[in-house]
This record gives sequence, structure tokens and C-alpha cells, in this order.
Amino acid sequence: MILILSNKWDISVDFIVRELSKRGENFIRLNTEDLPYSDCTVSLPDFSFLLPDGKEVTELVGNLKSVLFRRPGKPFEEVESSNLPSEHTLRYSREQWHALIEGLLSINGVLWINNPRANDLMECKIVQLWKAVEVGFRIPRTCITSSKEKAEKFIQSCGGCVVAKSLYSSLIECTNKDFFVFTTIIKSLKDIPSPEIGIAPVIFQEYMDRKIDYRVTVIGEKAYAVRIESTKRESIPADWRTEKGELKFIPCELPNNIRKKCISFVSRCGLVFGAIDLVQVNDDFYFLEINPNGEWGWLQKGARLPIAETITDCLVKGKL
Amino acid sequence: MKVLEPFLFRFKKECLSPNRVAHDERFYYDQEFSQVMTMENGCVIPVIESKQNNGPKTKKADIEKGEDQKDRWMWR
Repeated sequence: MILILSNKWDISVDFIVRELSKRGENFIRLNTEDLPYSDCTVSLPDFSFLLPDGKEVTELVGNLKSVLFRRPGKPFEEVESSNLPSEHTLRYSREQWHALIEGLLSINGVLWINNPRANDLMECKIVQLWKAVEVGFRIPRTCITSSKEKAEKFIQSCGGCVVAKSLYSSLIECTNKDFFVFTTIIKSLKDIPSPEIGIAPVIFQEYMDRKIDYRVTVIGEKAYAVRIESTKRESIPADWRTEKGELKFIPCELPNNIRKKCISFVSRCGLVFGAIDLVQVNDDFYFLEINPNGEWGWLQKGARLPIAETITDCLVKGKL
Repeated sequence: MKVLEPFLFRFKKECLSPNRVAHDERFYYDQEFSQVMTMENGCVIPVIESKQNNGPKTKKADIEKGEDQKDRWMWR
């Protein structure tokens, strides 16, 4: 049995569902926003974990070989705000369901893509960068600080030009609208009040000029790379995601040592899947970051990379 | 008094897709097929097979490039 924990609207998961169906594999897609309307029961000491499978329930203990854990939905998130329970009920309900799903980690011998705890840890860019150094990647000179003074000194030491980005999620969720902070070029902090840096630490990194960007999608022992090029100009911005309509993604081979480092890095992070951003400056490759749950549907459909097929291979085998 | 915001908020940009689940009637989730479906040329097909669109534009249905959404562990 293969379990998919996701949400209804994650279209990338649909590619996996199509592949599993094509192969006749037994799977359950549990969209976790629907958990409050489902029938789940765990029994102990004779361990039993029953989860809904359509109109039936399925025993997972002894049957589960792999889990695709990808962007699970929040209970009640599709409910109109006027019909939502109180905030404290909502929080309580979500925490209780979270604990129940967390209990799935107790079933032995299951391949998780990805293990949610490893996913969470690897969202931290300090952990990412240090692990990258440990596997032998070059990384840009980096200063993570809450001190304006230290940041200014770092900018000077980098010749007066750095990039700044978020240490954790770049998503700012507001009541009616959400925002995203992309990597931004910074030349000076002269007019910035110190408390703005103090309120939340920032990553500053040396700016890589004349770079070539790559997105490397690693799944177990496989690595699929695309080179990112602008359709309109010679170079692309500090953060290629800001120009997504004007980019082309060209499947390519990485040098063997870099490909191996990507695979080794993902494994050392305790992950099976990882979307790595690299840049090449002259002949040198630099690790920028990994997105443990990076988006890939656009590479499957646009660049025709066999990402769903490869994830499915791992899910079906239940091991790497 | 101006409310203090983190430095990087100066550079924030609106998300590239709508921030909340949009109820787009062209798409629906089919429990039997465990996929999002749409109507194309008179046939109901999985949206990933569609040549005309990539599915509903929600942050959670984003097969467009780059807008990586974090899981924040699960939903905490």
C-alpha cells in the first residue's frame, strides 16, 4: 500500500496518481483538509492504524510500504470563513489531527518522500548551507545576522553588492493577500533603521555576477538538471523566479562530480526528494539552496523530465 | 507611529497566484480518480492532460514555475 498525504489541488500529485494508476498500484490519496470528515482509528498495544480509503477503511500496519508527504492540506481550510469553528477550536482540531498523522512515523519499514521532520529541518538555510559545505560544495560567502553593523561590514567586504533573502519561508501570509520575498540585490543599508534588521535575521550572500542558474531535482539516486536561460536577455536576475514568464528550462547534464554531490547532499539531509538551486560562475558550481518540497510539475509538463515516474519508482519499491 | 516591519518586507511582492483556494467552476476534484478534472472539447479529462490550461490558479495548485510553498512541518 502507498499512501499520499496531500491536498486536492496539488496538481503535481496528479502526475504521481496517473503513474500509480497506470501501473495498477494500490494507493490511497488522503487530502488532509478532509480529515475532520473522515474515519481514522489507531489501536494499541496490538498496533493498528486505520485510515479512510474512499468509503472503506484500510489497515496500514503491515501493509504500508511508502508515503508521499507533499503539502498536506489544513483541516477546514476549504470551509467558508463564516462557517468555520472558533479559532481555538480550529487550532485544537488541527493539532490533534497533526498528532494522529505524526503517529504514522511509528510504522516501521516505510519509505517517506519526504520524512516530514527532515523536510522541516532542511527548510533552515543555515543547516542547508553547512551540510552543503560538508559534502564539498562551494557556497557563496554568507552572513546571517540581526545586526545592521555586521551586515554593513559584510556588504563592504563583498565589494558593496550582496543579495539578501529569508532565512526560512519567504511567504508572508496576510489576511486577504499573501506576499513573497524573492532574493534581492542590496548595495547599502544606509537608510535602514537598525531595528528592521533586528526584528528578523536576514541572510546576506556575496552577489554572483555573470552566473548560469540550474535547478537540479534529485530523487534518490537520480538527478535531473535544467539550465535556466532568459528568452529576452543575456543574463537573468538575482532570483530567476521573478521572471518566470520569460525563461526557458533546458534539460542538461551536470559534471559528474557535481551530480554526485547533489545526490549525496539530498541523502545526507535525510531526504529522498530535493530541488536544488545551483549557479555556475566560470567553471565553478556553487550551491545556493535546497527546497525539500520544491515544485516540479512545471518541469514534468514543460521540460518533459520524468520526475513523476522516478518518484513512483521509489514509492513502488518502498526503498531506495 | 510607523509599525516596524522586517527589513525584507520592503521587497515583498504579491504572490504570483491567488492566495486562497479559488472556486473555479472549470475544475473539480474527482474522488474516484483522485485527480483534478476539467472539460476539454466536450470530454472530461484530468487537468494534467489538458493542452489548454494548467489547472486552477491557487497557491496549492501551482505547477507554474518557482513559487515554492513551504509545508511548515504539516500545517502548524
